[in-house]
Order: sequence, then structure tokens, then C-alpha cells
Amino acid sequence: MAIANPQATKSYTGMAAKEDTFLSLTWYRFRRHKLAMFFVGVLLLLYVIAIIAPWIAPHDPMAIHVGGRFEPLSREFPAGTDRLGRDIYSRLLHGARISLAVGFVSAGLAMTLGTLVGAIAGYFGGVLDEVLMRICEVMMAIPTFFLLLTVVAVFERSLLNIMLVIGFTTWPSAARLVRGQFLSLREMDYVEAARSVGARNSRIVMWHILPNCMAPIIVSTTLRIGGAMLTESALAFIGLGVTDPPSWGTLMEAGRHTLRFAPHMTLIPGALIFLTVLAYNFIGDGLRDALDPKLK
Amino acid sequence: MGRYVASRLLQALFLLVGVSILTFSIIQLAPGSFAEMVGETIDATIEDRARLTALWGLDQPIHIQYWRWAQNMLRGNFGESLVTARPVFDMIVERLPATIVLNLIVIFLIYLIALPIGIISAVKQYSWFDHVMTFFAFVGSAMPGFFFAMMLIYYVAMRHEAIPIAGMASIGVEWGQVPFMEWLVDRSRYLVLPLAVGVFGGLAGLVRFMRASMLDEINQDYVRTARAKGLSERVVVFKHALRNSLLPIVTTLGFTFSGLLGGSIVIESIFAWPGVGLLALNAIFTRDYQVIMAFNLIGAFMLVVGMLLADILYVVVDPRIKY
Repeated sequence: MAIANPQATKSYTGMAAKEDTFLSLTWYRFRRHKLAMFFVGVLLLLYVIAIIAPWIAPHDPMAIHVGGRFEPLSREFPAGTDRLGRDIYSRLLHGARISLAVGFVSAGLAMTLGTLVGAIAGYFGGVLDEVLMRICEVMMAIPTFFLLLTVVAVFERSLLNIMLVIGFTTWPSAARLVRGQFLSLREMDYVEAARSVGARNSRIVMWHILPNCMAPIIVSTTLRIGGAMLTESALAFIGLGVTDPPSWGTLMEAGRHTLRFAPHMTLIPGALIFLTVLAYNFIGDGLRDALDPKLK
Repeated sequence: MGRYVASRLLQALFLLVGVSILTFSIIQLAPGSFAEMVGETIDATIEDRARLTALWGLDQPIHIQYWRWAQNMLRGNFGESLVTARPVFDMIVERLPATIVLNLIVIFLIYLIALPIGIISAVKQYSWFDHVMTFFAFVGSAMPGFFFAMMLIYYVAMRHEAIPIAGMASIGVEWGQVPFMEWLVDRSRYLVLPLAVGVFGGLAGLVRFMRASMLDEINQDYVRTARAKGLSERVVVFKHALRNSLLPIVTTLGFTFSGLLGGSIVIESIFAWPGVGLLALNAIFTRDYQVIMAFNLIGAFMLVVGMLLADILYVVVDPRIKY
């Protein structure tokens, strides 16, 4: 990264020289992105809440309070109760675990698979590249959301399956991104140099090329987590989500038909999904500017 | 040109074969066979099931089953629904108008609104307008469509009697039976919410795309030359930069075309819009595999054809492209 660090001049004026690592430079640039920094805080808070949910939830999310159906917001039930008299606040706290996990795991899966396929296709090229890319094109030729619906219709709907399905239906675009990076990087002189000193293919891929295309991979992963959350909640909202335990999307669906007299049941989880996806998008944008100032 | 089109056609054909194999394989993974599923619904004996299995060729090897199915698809025979026992083709065709009308208007409005916003944002880069629009684009891309829909229903439709929440038409208000204006007003009332949600969902992406495309052109040398020789800003922007910046927009038409059919599943589900998306969704709930497979193939067909058209159109509008 040949970029001048405005702080670098300071180290010549008496202070101990601070080494400019890639990470410190990235952090320096990221910090200037105020909105992204704000949303990092929001996201951290959400993750902390998700982790400690069982300890801070006032009620058991599955416990039914007899005689307390559709309670409005109150001290005892901060977000009211649902159709069966269950505490929505506790359900939201527990739902955070599901929603955040779905986004994280499915995006991670899509990115891992995509990086693997993209790296192989881009590095080796030739027939292998042709075959892998044709497979990607076939998968991308079916409208993603419908491919997803088809697979969901066929397999049993469990949390793990939903994550797997979203991961397995969205990896081709990731593969194309990584392949593009590999195609240009493998022609670089430093790769040639590594090859000339006898480095094995696996070493060149893992230690020389992959680290250099981490910037777009990290940015794309961040944006994909938000995207995966949107997909999962859309599935849940049309009635194809995980119900036990519920995600935010499932909670929205539960309040859909009682919108008139219990709007909070739908609008609160909706706002949470919106906030989280917004956070990922802003952080992704901030990371894009920070990781590679040339990339726009 | 002819050779280019031919090679692209061949590629499209290959894609469709791939899609059909993929769709067929996914359905094959479903637990339980067709015969068993039908058998359950009509209290069939074991012998009946065996007869159905033989009748439908389900005892044949998998590649022969695929071949038979693919042949039928090619002849436009999408089979009969496992639930309603009607031809799948008819079921889809009768739902088409509702979906196409909705999506055509949505697409038209998206382009109508997004292109000017993107262009102004680029021309006045970093102005307050650009900042506000960029922020809205961010919000728009993070907002789940169904959440937006729920807010519209709660804050607008439930407070105004004139805006219905579900369906496509009032009972009795039919074309030709009531005055035209009355018909038009009735249909428009039902269109308001689905349109709003559809347009909102597609706006952010296209605004960003148009802005980026326009920025690319504005920073080109020929634009500087045009300014240097004293052309007015109007001519520079609208005659030189804008025309070229619209070229990449052509490539978005491919996706748009495929969105005509499957782009509105969630919207149709929320507003009970009686279109193809709702049909497909119901097919998923009832595991009506014939409908699901037909819908997947038609969706893929539209996408592949859309891409093909966009590619060919791109060559036509941009003489610089060599094929």
C-alpha cells in the first residue's frame, strides 16, 4: 500500500517511530468514516445482546402467559405479548441470535465456497476454468430467490438448512469476483518470481495471491451478511422460515395479520432487521474506502 | 454480427439445458416419490401406487426420466398440477396478465425516477442533492421490501379507506360493465401499494448504477475537450456525456426482463396480488412440483433471453464493441 500516512511526519519530530502496518493504515482510514464507526458500535451492541440474551431476557421466550394475549407495551412486557401470550421482548432478544447467525454463517459459507472455486478457476484457467464458470452461469440463470424457494420447498426447514441453502445458492457471484482478481494477479511479476524460486502452486495461491485479494473479499463478505439477512427474513416473512426458535423475520410474520391492533409485533422486528442490514452496508462501504483507496 | 448472435444463442441453449438438469435434480432430492404423494391423497392401495409408478415411468432409470420430461417441456407440455389436476401451462398463462401489468409499470417508474436522480447526482457530485440521494440509496438498499410494505399498510392504507390492502379489483367492477373512468380509478387504487413497494425496492440500485456510469463519462477526456472548445454545459452534459453514459444501462435490461415474471413473489404474497408469483408460492407450500419446475424453467428462460437481447442490443447501440 503506497499511501502516505499523514501521521507519519509526526514520528520524525521526536516521537518514537511507529511502524505503519497495513492494519494500522486501514484502521486510520476507517476511523474517519464517521457513519461506519457509528454502525460498528450499533452492531457490536447487537452482538453483545445476542450473546447474553438468555441472561437478560425477562421471560422464557417460549413461556405462555395465560390470559395475556396481545398485551400492549408495558413494564412487565416491554414489547407486549403475542398471539399465544408470549413475551415479545424476550423473543426479540433470542431472535437476534438466529438472525445474526443466519447472516454470518450463510455469507461465510457462500464466500468460502466462492473463494475456493474462484481461486481454482482463476489460477489454473483452461478447461477447469471453463467448466467451473459454466456451472456458475447455470446457477445464476435461475432467479436466485426462486432457486432458494425451490430448495426450501424440497428440504426440511431447519435453521442449519436455511443457512446452507442461502450459502449454496449465492456462492457463484462470489466465485466470479475472486476469479477476476486471480486472473489479473497471477500475471504479476511477483507471482512469476515466486514460481521461479520453486514455490508450489498451493503456496503461491495461499501466501502470495490470496492475501492480495482480501480487500474485495472482505468488503463483499460484509455486504453479503446484510444481504443474507434480508433473504432469510424475506423467506421467513412469506412463511418459509425457521419457527422454533423464531428469527426476526418469523416474528414479523407472526404479527402480519394483527397489524391493525398490534402493529408493534411486526414493526419492531422489521426495524431491527433494517437497522442491522443498514449497519452492515455502511461498514462495508467504510471498509471499501479504508482497505483500498483506489477502489471506488 | 450473425456469427456473434449464433454463438450467443448456442451459449443460451447450453445454459437452459444446465438449468433444466439442475431443476430436475433438486426435485429428485425431494423425499418421497410422486406416486407416494398422490397415493396418500386418494387413499390408494399399494397396487395402485405401483401402477402409477409404472404409468408415469418412475421405475425407469433417472436419465430416461429426465429425457422424457425434457422432451415434454420442449413441446410446451408442462404436465398437470398434482394439486388441481389442471394443465400447468394454463394455470400460468391465466395468471400472467396480473404479474406483467404490475411489473411493467414498476419497471417503467423505476427507470423514470432513477435515471434523472442518478444523472443529477453525478453532474452535481458532492452537492447536498448528491449527499441526500446517496443516503437514501443506502437506506433503500437496506430496507426489507416487506417491512416497507407493512409500514405503508399501517401508516397509510389503514388510515385511508380509499387504498385497499389486498387484491386487484373490487367485486363487480369489470372491464366494459362500468364506465371507463370508474374502472380506471378502481384498478389504480389497488395498484398504489404494490407499485410503491416495487418501485422503492428497485430504485436504490439503479440510481447508484446510473450515477457511477455518468461519473465515468464526465471524467473522460472527450468531455474536457468539449468544454475546452467552449460548448455550453448543457450541450456537454446532455449531448456528449449523457448519451454514452446510458449505454451500460442497456445491460440492466436483461435482469429487468426476467423480473417481469418472478420479480414480485414477496409483493404478490403481501398484497394478495393474483399473479404468477403467488401461484408459484402456493405451489411451494403444497409441494406442487410440476408447477415449481415449470416456473423455474420459465424464469430461467426469461433471464437467458433477456441477457441475450441485452448483449445484442449493446452491440447495436455501441459501434465501438467488437464481436
